[in-house]
Amino acid sequence: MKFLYGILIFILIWWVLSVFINSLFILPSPLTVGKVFFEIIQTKTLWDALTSSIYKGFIALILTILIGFILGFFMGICDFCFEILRPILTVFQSVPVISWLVLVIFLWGIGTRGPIAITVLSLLPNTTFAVAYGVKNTDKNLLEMAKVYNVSKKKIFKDLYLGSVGPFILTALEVVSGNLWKVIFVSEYLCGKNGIGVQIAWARQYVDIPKVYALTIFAVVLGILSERLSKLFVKIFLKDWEYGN
Amino acid sequence: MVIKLENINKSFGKLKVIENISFSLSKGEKLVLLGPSGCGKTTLLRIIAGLESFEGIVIKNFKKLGYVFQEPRIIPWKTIYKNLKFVEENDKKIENILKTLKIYEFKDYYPNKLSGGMKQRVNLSRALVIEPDLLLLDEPFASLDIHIKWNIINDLLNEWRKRNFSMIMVTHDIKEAIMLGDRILVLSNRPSKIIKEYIISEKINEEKLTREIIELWTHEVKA
Ligand SMILES: Nc1ncnc2c1ncn2[C@@H]1O[C@H](COP(=O)(O)OP(=O)(O)O)[C@@H](O)[C@H]1O
Ligand SMILES: [Mg+2]
Repeated sequence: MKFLYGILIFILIWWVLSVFINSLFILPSPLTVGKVFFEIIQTKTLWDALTSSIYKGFIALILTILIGFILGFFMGICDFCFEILRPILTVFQSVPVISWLVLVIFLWGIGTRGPIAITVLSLLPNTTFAVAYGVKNTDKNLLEMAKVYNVSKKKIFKDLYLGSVGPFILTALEVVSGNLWKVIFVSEYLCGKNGIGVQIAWARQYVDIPKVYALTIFAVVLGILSERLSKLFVKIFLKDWEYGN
Repeated sequence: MVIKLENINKSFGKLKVIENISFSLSKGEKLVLLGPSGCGKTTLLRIIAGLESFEGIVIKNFKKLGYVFQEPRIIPWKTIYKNLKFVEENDKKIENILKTLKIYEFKDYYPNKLSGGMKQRVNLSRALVIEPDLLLLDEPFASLDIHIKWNIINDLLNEWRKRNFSMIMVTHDIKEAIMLGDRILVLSNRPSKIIKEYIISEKINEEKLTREIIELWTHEVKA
């Protein structure tokens, strides 16, 4: 309920401001944007763009988790690997999206692979560090206990390492899912062939400001939805770690 | 003979912890190493379990080792049942040992819901479920109420009568040592060495023995 009031107040402020500014190019009124919004959600173009963005987001998410997990695991169990990879990942963490762009366009031009690669590269460091710290934090006493009882490597991996990485992974997942769409849209805008980001780029090119705003609302809704979804997912999975409370 | 230690020495850097300890353990025997806090008891058990380097000779003649750690070392994100499943696949064995140790009804509890006494019961049942030939116990009943302590020791002894494994328990508690041991080796302050050996029989005078051991430790401090 409060959420709804918040939105109402937001729209009210927006409306007042748009009346004051009175320029379609800077701030179109909520009504104008709303009309465009309802127009575009009835076009196939938008839904195709959305499918394309979600597809890229999904692939990027899976790749990030997969690579982050493998790298992070080795960084966690091998101090040497950690020391070698930490500076590299730290550098990666601070490279702006725009710099990856040069490399990616040079490699693949405009298309699907570019946005995916950029997204993976920007989300990977955090995920990898989360896994590495989880593995590093695995209780030494429990590992020793497993050794005394001759527990198999497979079980140690599954029950001890995964168990202690779990909560770290889930927090990382929450952070990643919050940033995923932002990065996807920006990279689409810069080097994509289709997707929501590309739609925004076109609208901007035709100086169709109400459409830019309408697409932004669409992106925001998508972001909130995916964050809620991942929170739900995390909640269901956290059941296994509910010992904490 | 289940295990034999010959002239075991151990130092952590400059800190000498164990000095020339030798003893052997026969099958089915309950041996207690009784020593003051910080003398090196845990270190000695860790040497036996193969977790610590040392000088000297350890001859092992057993297959399965159960180790009741000083801290419970239970996996916090697993239920009691799953904690035992971590070391033993056989469900029947798990159920039986949980029943023997009277924690079967709590089998689906997570460890954080358990009292200290129950955690020690889990720690103990994990060591017993694998049907060990040698059981190591590191001050397993310290910090438990006396009646809980008695109860757990009784349950442990019941299992021992059934299966006749050998035990080495270390403790600083003289009463506990007399309760459980067939034989007590008294250890000195750090570095530990064996300063006295007692065979415990039915007719033992507990008070006299207690006074004697305290005397030993006090003299040893003066020396
Ligand atoms: N890994 C270690 N490194 C350095 N010192 C240790 C280590 N483990 C134990 N010690 C020291 O060795 C001594 C004996 O420890 P411990 O075997 O735990 O004693 P106890 O179990 O009899 O209380 C203590 O002074 C302790 O600080
Ligand atoms: Mg100790």
